[in-house]
Amino acid sequence: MSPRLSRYRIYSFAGRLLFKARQARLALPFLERAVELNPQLGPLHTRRARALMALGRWEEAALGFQAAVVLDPEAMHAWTGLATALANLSRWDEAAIVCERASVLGSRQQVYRPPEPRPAS
Amino acid sequence: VIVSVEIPAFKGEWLQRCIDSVLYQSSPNWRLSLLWDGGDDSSRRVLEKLQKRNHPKVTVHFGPNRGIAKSRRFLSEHSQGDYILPVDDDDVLPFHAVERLLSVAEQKPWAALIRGQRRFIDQEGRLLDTRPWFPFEPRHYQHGMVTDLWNHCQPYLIRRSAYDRTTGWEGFEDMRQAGEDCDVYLKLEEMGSIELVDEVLYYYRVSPRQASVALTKAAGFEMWRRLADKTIERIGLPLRRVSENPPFVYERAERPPSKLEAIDFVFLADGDSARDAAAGSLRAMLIHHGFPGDAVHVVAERNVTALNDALLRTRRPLVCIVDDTIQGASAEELEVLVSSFDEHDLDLAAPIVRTADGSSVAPDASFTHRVRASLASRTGWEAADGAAKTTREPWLHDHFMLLRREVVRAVGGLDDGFRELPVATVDFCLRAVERDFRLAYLSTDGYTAPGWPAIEPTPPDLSRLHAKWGARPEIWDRERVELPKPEPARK
Repeated sequence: MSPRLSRYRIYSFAGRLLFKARQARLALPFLERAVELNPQLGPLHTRRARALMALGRWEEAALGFQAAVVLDPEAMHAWTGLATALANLSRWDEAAIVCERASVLGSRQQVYRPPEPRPAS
Repeated sequence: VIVSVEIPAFKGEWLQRCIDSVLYQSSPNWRLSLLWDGGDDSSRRVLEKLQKRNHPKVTVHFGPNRGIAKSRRFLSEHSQGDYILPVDDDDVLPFHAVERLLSVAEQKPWAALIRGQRRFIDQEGRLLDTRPWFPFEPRHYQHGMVTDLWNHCQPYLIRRSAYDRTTGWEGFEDMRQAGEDCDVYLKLEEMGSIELVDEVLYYYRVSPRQASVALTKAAGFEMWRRLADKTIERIGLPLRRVSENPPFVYERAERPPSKLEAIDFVFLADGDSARDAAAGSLRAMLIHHGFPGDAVHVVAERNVTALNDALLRTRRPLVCIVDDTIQGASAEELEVLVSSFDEHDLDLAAPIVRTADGSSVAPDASFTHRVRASLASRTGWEAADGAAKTTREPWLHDHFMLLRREVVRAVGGLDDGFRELPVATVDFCLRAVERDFRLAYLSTDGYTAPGWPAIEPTPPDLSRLHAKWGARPEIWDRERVELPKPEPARK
């Protein structure tokens, strides 16, 4: 792996730590750097978009989620994030289309089902 | 099929968002071209950074400030792709814009331009609940966009093949090269149809730095006035502006009386044998009466492309498209036709043509209800007193048609997506009706077509016609108007 690509992991890790510590403003530069180093990785865009969303930067967040769903169309979290960001921008038409696509995807993906209750002994 | 998204970049504040909205489109069928038009430092930095990424689908150009029209022209000349999607540097595309526009383009291959809806967003990208100043409405047809210039806006997808036949992006020098969008709309309308998609496919950012703020409302009106006047002159439309101040009003201008010498004749023949056999035809009569040779054009093959080529060669104000087998016409009868044409102030007309069994050729009434294109002979075309009727109709047959040349210019000739002439002619007539030209069957009698062919249109042609006009009953199901009987012809 090239040093450039491996470095993104460090930035991404730092960004995730800070974001989990509710420090979105501090996390964002790290996540942005990670995306810059490896722009083809969908989850990096999702993490950056979440930080942007936490800061109320909805339009940039929407574009970040958009990047994530294009790079990884199966990423359900990115689809739901995109719908949330668009709804916060009042872009309802687009949000409705995103929700529709996410629901199609959701029906295809394996859905978690709670285990059957054990029969009473 | 590739869409070339073209962005002249001048302002950097929202440029990254604009670029990201293209980079992450749901469809992969796009290429992005950007031109730094001597704008602010921030826009240059964004583009330099993008260039360093070496994205295989992105091309970045740098140049001095040249204005919006020249920048768009540069980008269109230096890009490839079957379609052009112009985007402004501060706007954004919804994630499915390219996908949706391409899908409509595929469904409507006759469209020169496909237009969608837009919504306004604020500087943070939030939707603004404001009434759009460019409405998205059904077109207010009066010879096309000329009097409907205010009803246009982004987004618009331009078919490259149609754009290449225009003179391209052009703006007004005294208005910072603006007006290029309206101008290209008007020019593209002469190359093909404009189709509407009633979906939001563009977000237009409202900010104090937007170009339309710098260009005042008065300048906008002045721009529209100039563009409309220029187009009326270019096509030769029968319109006259009757107001000096907006909203501009146009009325139909009077034309000078037509003369036989002002007609170019286009004869439809089926190879040399048909031409030789047409000794008693209208063409023979014209030659006999000493009509100038350059007024007679013969189309050796009965197909759309050949007829379009012939129409391009015409130079006179009127064009008469005639089947080479039409018989019985004399110079006097032609004069009656032209005189009747003038009296009813028509733009396209066809005389009643009799078949061998004496019935007349008329539009098949079932066409309007089932969108069929059979123009068969039928009886009952006469009025109760036995005289032939003169009626306004939405389409004419392709065997004898007199039309003004501006009609050909305005609709860009026949749609060469059709295989057969009868259906292409129906489509041509409907496009003329859409642009408010007047069509009628004239009751001038005396023309016969001994061998009227019963052509059944091919399924692909019918499907195309249905797809194109099926949802437009306001064009093909107009009430048929019976015109008053014409006065006796001038002799």
